Amino acid sequence: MEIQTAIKIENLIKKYKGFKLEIPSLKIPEGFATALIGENGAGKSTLINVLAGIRLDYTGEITYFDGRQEEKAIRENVGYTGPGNYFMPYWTIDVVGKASRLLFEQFHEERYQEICQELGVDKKKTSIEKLSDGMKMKTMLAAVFARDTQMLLLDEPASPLDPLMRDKLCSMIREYIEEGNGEKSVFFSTHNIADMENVTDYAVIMAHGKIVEKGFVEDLKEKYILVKGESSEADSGKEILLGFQKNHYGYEGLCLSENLDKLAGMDIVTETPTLSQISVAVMKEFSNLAGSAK
Amino acid sequence: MKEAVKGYHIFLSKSWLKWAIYIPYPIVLIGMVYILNRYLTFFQYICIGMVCGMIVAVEIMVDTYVLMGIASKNTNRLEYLKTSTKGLPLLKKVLAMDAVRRFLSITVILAGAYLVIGTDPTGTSNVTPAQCFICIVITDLLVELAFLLTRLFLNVWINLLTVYILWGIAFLEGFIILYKISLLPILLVMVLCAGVIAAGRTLILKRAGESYYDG
Repeated sequence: MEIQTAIKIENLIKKYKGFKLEIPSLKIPEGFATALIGENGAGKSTLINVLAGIRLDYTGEITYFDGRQEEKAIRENVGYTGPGNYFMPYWTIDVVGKASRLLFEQFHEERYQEICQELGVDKKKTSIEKLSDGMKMKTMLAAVFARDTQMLLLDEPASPLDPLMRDKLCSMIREYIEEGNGEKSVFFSTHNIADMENVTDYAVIMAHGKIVEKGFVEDLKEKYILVKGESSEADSGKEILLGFQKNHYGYEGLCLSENLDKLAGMDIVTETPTLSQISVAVMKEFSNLAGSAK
Repeated sequence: MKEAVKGYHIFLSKSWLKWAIYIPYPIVLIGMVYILNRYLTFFQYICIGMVCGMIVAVEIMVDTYVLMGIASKNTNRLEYLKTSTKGLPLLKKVLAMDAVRRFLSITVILAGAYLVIGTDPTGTSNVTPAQCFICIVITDLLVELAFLLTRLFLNVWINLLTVYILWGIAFLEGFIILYKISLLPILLVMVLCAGVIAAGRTLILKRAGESYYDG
């Protein structure tokens, strides 16, 4: 099955205050939910800001929807939510609805009100600046889901949300993709994939401004194997395993499937890893903490 | 035009503010001139000075809820507007509408003050239309000058300090009615006012454009 590309990135470079985002090539698949995973400072927000068009100081090429649409249509069809001060501080939730109607042609105010109600956003006359981070994020999500879009770029949408709301967000993302019949995509960043794993189809793992791993979740789960072994054999496993961890009972880490034969003869148990375990192990290999962890 | 008005009212955001700037604001200030002129003072320059000062104070404080800090460096309050191709054009319309609304408000209030003083049955009005008009333009100029500062910083205390200083300067406008005003000073002040409005607008749009770039 040929998979269409929602966003294609080529030779993207962005430099900012001692940080460099460098992505030679990335294709975000259309019709799927892609998680952009990385620790704090990995470059996730930087990448999403560039894709959302709110940062223009980069070199490289970004193609949306296989180049089928003009710039204006792209902006109309791409929804973005970000952290921090996203709305004017004195806007209220009702005013956000009115502003969205002016800013986006395919914004539905009735749907916005319905989603606000569904998400429990009830302080309609309160200024955005006085709302909690969770309420602000819910307002952003309501505003973006109330539009007819083809792609959502969500920067850390789950971070300020409670567990119940995170589950609700996953349902909303899943419904959004399903109603698109393969033409709607979601690209969201997270540093805590455990909460969003059940909605993730494709994962991109970043570290230090670079992509260190990417692929469909099912493929990644075949590529890596979670290995657990006895403490006495820890030294043997250390060199082969990613994200190696040792405790009183034994050790565990991730092993590339192709390297499993290097552990032959050792007393190990293998499991299919979760995306969270894959992400942590891969990030550990590239993180500054990797040296201290080993 | 309709979009500019809607956009401006979105930036006014507070529902009480939308109502207050159109009705109570001019009525209260014209009423203040009436009370001052009829009951408290014989000196018309005090009436004009007071109302000019109050206009400057009110306009700066209203802007706290509208565009305060919009031109600050590294402003990130425009992120939502930037996600739409209509965002920055909407901001331009809002700035234009804001300037027009302000000029009209100042004109209504000072024209009302002029009429109140002119219809005083006990005294002769010393205020000429030319003096009234130059007060309108100077008041607008002072407010726009204030905005060059208050829109640079997201800080209420700077707004308050600016109010205190400019209220005093605006009060001195009252003394204009003691002098004959010719066309040239009016034209000069109008050009200066237009220049300050353009400079303020350019600064805001420049900062908005810069916000697309980090570092």
